[in-house]
Amino acid sequence: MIDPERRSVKWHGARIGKYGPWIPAAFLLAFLLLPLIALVSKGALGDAIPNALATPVVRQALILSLATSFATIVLAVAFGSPLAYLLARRDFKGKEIVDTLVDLPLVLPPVVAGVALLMAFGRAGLLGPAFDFAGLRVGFSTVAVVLAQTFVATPFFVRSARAGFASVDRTLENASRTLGVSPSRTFIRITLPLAAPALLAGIAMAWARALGEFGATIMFAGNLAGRTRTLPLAILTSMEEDLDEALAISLILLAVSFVLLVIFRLAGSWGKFADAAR
Amino acid sequence: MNAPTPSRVWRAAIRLRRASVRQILWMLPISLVAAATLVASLGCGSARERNEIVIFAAASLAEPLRQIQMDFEDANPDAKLLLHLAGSQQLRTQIELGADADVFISADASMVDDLRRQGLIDGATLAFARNRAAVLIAPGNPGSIRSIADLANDDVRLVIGVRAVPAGRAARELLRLLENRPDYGPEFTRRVAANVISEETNVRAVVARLALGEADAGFVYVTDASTRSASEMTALHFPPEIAVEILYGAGAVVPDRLGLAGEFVRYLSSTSARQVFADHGFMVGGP
Repeated sequence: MIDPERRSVKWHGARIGKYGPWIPAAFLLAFLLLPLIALVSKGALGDAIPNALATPVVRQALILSLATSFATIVLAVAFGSPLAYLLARRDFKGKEIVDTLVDLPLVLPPVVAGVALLMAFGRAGLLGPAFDFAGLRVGFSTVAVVLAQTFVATPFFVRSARAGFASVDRTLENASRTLGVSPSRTFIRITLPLAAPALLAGIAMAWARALGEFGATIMFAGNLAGRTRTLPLAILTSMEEDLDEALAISLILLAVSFVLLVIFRLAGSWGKFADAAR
Repeated sequence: MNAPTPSRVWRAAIRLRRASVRQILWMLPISLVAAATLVASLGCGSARERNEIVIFAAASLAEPLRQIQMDFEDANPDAKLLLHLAGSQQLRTQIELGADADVFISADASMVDDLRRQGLIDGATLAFARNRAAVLIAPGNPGSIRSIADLANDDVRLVIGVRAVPAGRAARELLRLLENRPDYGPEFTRRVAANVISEETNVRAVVARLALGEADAGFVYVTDASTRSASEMTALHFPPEIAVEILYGAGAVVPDRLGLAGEFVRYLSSTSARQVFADHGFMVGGP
């Protein structure tokens, strides 16, 4: 023993600095991972997933979820891209307000979104009488599912697309214009490809959010097999009848979410490569 | 061993401070708060008041049970009742998954029997009241429903319980009775099924859809018509031969630490409790 004080001081000093953050971090990682491991180990055993996929109710829910979330993404891209472009490129009065409003659904509890949609488009809602007069029924239909998903998921796309359009180097667009290329062609050949990774990341995030949408859907669209019962609602319904089925659907959604997350990360790194190559 | 010289201690202290005092100072309160929060959140779940009885009860029993809760707490000043109302099938699943319930009151007495077979219920199932399936019409009758036959009209919007909830099962039995009658038949039930816009996990959620005016009629129980949220709704008239009854059952969930759960279950069949159920439209006499 040469210098016990010195050694213990060194331990307290350097080691806590080095290893200290790992202790709470490890707890958190274990806490985040354990439920997923439990879900996989409980649900992946045996024929739970094939059995669930063989049930008409689960197949219906899967098809409905894929179809409605696809429609949501089409709507989000069709209406969200122009808005994202405006927010990234143009200055207009009230831009900050629009920016904040677009982000609001991100922080709004989905159940509140459901009640709000019901108050707007439901039969007792603001537009209810007008819709009734036109013979349209939005609430409790597949259309309502798409509207609920669009409401909560589109902001994810707009946010990402806005950042994507903002990051495109204007000198490249200007060069294209100087060489006599039309604005629309410049947009398609220069702006869009350069913003593409951000758009793709936004699509992945919005898609994941749409697939997982629960609160707004059950409030605004109700819960009916084949028409409005998406996968998350099917989990709620199965949970009380057949736990294995609920586990199997949960695993299906977990797998899809994971794939979307990988796409999101890949799109992110693709964006960085594109930046580096420039 | 050398005694530490003052200068050495001083150097060590400086090193300690440089390397990590700031980190330690930061981490100490944060980890203390984090640990306290963790302990508190774990503790809240299990550290129940000793005399608390958690009652998992079918949603349709809300009104009489609130009355009975007051009566029971008056008679047993030590006991404190906590009502958790939901669809019976949800409560049953929650108990199977380990929910900390003391009493299970189901709108389907056989669910209590099922839990006893799993060793989760102690003692006999007490069947203490009955109810009858009914159809409730939304305020203002937006679907112009005046008879059972109108339920099959085009553009009528109906709400029903999911198949697993007792109210949903009773509704489907009601439809089966109608299907077997020549004046309605399979075509009638097919059209009624096509008019369903949503399935709810408990009977009060059906009433809520009606209260909001989102549906024209819903499959509920007779007693739901006399609740406050249904004050502007009317019940559809059914002939006496078309009737589906459900039987409420109650049991004490294992372990009944203080015997209070068993006492509460027995109390449900007391004269005063039976009177409360009867006042709210439940059937408590013999079948």
